[in-house]
Amino acid sequence: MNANELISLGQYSDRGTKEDNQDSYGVLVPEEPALSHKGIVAVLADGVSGCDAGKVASETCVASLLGDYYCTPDSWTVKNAVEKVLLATNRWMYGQGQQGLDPRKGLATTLSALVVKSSTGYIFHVGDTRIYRLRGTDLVQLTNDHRVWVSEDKNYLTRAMGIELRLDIDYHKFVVEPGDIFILTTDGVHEYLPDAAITERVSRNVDNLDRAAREIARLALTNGSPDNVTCQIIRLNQLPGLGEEALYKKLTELPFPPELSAGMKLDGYRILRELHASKRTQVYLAVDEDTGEQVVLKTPSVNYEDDPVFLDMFMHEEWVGSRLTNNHVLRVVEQRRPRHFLYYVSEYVDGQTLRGWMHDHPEPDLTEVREITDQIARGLMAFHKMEMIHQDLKPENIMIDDQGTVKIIDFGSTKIAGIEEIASPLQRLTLLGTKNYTAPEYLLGYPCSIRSDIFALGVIVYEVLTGHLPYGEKYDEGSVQKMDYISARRWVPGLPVWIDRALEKAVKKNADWRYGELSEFIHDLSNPNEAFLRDLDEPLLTRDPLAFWQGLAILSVIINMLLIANIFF
Amino acid sequence: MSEKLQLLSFTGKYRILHTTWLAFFISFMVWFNHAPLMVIIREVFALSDQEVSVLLLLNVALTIPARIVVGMLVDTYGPRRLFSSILVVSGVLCSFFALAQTFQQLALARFLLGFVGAGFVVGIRMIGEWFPARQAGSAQGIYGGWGNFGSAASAMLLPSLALWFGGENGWRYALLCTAAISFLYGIYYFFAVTDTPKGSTYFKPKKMGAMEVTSKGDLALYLVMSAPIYGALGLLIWKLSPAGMNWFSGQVALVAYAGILAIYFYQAYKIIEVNKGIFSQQVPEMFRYRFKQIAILDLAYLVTFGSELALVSMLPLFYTDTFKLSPIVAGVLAGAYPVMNLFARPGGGVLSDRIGRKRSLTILFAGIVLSFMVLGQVTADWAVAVVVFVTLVCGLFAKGGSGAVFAMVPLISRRMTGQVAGMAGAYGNVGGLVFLTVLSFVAPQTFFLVIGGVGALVLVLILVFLDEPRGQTAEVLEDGTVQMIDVA
Repeated sequence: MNANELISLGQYSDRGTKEDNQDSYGVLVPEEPALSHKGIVAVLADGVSGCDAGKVASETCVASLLGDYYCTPDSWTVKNAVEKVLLATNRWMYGQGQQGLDPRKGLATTLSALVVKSSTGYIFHVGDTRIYRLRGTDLVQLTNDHRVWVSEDKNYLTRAMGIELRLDIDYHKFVVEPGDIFILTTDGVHEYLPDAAITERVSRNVDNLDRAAREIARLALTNGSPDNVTCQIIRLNQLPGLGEEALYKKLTELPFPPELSAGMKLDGYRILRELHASKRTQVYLAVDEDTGEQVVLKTPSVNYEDDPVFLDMFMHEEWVGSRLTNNHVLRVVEQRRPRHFLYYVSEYVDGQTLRGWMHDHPEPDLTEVREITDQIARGLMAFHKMEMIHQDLKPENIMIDDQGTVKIIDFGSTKIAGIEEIASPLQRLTLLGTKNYTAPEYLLGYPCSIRSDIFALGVIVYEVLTGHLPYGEKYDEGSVQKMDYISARRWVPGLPVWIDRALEKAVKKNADWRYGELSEFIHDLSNPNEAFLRDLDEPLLTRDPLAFWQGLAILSVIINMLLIANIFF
Repeated sequence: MSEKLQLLSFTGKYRILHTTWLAFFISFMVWFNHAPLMVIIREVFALSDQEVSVLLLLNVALTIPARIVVGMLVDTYGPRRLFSSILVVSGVLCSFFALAQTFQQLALARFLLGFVGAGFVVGIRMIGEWFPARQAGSAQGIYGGWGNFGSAASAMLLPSLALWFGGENGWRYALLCTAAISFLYGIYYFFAVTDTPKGSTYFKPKKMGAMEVTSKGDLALYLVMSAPIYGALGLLIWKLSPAGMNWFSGQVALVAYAGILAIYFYQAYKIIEVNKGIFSQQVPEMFRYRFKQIAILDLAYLVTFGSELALVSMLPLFYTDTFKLSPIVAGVLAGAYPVMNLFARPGGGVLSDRIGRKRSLTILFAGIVLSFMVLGQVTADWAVAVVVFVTLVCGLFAKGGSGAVFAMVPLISRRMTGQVAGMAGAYGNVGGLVFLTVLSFVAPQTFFLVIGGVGALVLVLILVFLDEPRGQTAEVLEDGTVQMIDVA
């Protein structure tokens, strides 16, 4: 898609009666795949006039947003990515201001930014620049001016970039439509024009937005604006990203490899043997003929040749793997030779799955279990840092190599926040994980979070320690409401109470009661948590109601018998 | 190929394969346990020819709707629970049949036992869960072929077993044996298998209710092709109504017709609902396929599997009546017919892979037409051995045809393989019901000619309308390099 087809643009900026122009603005329409993953950015900043370095401030903001935003991970949401960039910029600007003694010499600017990704528009706003949306003849101001009026003719800017370490950014999102026109203006423009004038000038010059921008800015000057005037107009001709046909084309671009057997060569990889084959995929051990490196080749099963949801998941697996660099996550090997088939290559982990390890270690040492858990958690944190949720953590998806290094494999089910934002005709499958390790929120259809991964890890640690599952084998969507946590101490009486409590907290059915962070769980597995020990002395009635009532009944029988005996003797 | 099927193994997926084909074998054994004993039953209950043909008909009637119901249930409850239930329930129903005292009870039991015939789909799903694509075809061939052999086991063993028990109730004990086997194996199956390999998920497919078609013309064809499935049930009602056997009153028949019509309209509504998208936009290219391909495969399976169902039901009686053979000899001779399944069905699949889809179907259907035409000429003067040989040739082509149909099913649209297979399967049962209905009016010879005639029609359709599925195949060069070549 050509940038000119995608949007029409009009820009005009003038210093007006001032000595210099402290406004900065810009629009970026990137190439694919950034266009799909990140979208279009339009930004306008008005350097605060009270500061010497207003121009520097506004330019910095615009440049960092247009540059750094596109360097954030593709898996991040727009909100997270833009906020991270703006907060970093704000911190830098504030730091610059602090170096000079005169606070008036600091860097400060307003900022209004629009991101259009897929079919959604995102607004980020600080200060009194404005973004309008013109849809048909309907002009809506999408931003609120951060200004306070102290008297009839005096007002102050209440929020701006660079004046405080703390930064509050207005954020909201809305559905965009092809044909939407966005108008970004500085206060020098919109304070000297009625909204109707903007609508009128834009509507009249839809074919020449540069002229529209110029006329609007000039009109403001004519009306006596004493400030810099900048107007930037963007018309969205089409929505960015791949259309449906293009998406399916991309999914079916490469053919499925045939059945492979030892000795066959595929794009420079020589197959050594088949490691595993399931209904969904085949996994082969192969050697890279250029480097001699042993690698694993994963190919999709012909069962899913025309299943776009499966293809999408398969392709994202490589996508996810190539964006994670962590010792505890399977490394995806970058493909240097041209690819003629659909498959992907990853490092070969010579070892066994955690399932196999559990089989060999039915009564594992607590230290060993901590060691393994800690490594899984570190791998998972790498996912979470990238705003990804693994969603299918289970002993079969965890490998332990001969050095004892634990690695998470298989990311086919990973939920990627940044990808979820891209509208897609594909209905992604909801239940992805394996029943026993799947948090109740999936089964019940509630939204998932990183706490869902913590649940899975909790179940795994429980199973490694006890050989059983915390809610029993019958755990499924029908029974989840009725199931109760079975104390791990039932299976392993010697297990410290506080570890049992930590496990219980990790696998709480209500996600809100679970650990919020993996690190807390890991900490509680090694260090007795005071809170868990405090209520140990609780009465038998709450700790084990059944035993209490049984005991009471037996006691009552004995007393009764004594009483009866008393009557007779 | 790095790993061939290791049929002697009894661990992991092979254990599943063996336990599952045996479950299917037993279900088929129960489903057709009446056929070889029909001679005795006819005598005990003093049944007319019409009543015998009704029993044979009822046995395959319920299977048609049951396939649809079981197909949905297997998505929800998984193959393990479903196959167990089917076997246990059919054990009970079969006891009911064995102990029946009146023709009405026999008929009701046989009607309900039609449900057993739907076990096939359950096992297909089970095999699909456990075997990777590369092995799925052969595994399902073994499952289907060896399982179908169950009717042969019934035909060969039950008459002897009945005789061994002796007395006037010997046949009842023989039937009770199959009931007990089914019941106990159902319980065993529940504890012996799991729905998926450990650690993998049993995916519930999206709720569909109907197949997706990709053009308006195909939608119309789909609606037309859905009708015979319900039409076959209408045929049965007509047979039992005052117009035929006068089993129930005209009012009851009307209500039943209305019910079937309502179900058809509901199905039609679902079909349009699922496919309403094609009216507003074009279907992406990767999803497009021609529905006529499915329609032809459905009709082909109507002939191949329909004739098999019909012949398995009627051959023992045919041999007895035509050549005055004892039930045991007739049973053994008739039992030779389903034995062909062991190799003819997989053979049809292999032939299809080797010489092409269209060509293999053409050859096999020519064989079907010719052999049934010959069978239509049989008189009591023919040597028994020749007649048995001709039926075996019929079986060879028909079952080979079934194999060739199912070799092509996954090539229409991978995504919808299950649904395409389900529809073809339903047509197989429609065929059984239609052919048996025909048999209730005419002599066996004419019945064979009718099958041959329908086969000839389908042969013409195959020649004129069936397209060879296109696709890409890979080529392995001498040094092992894999390359793609397009197949026109």
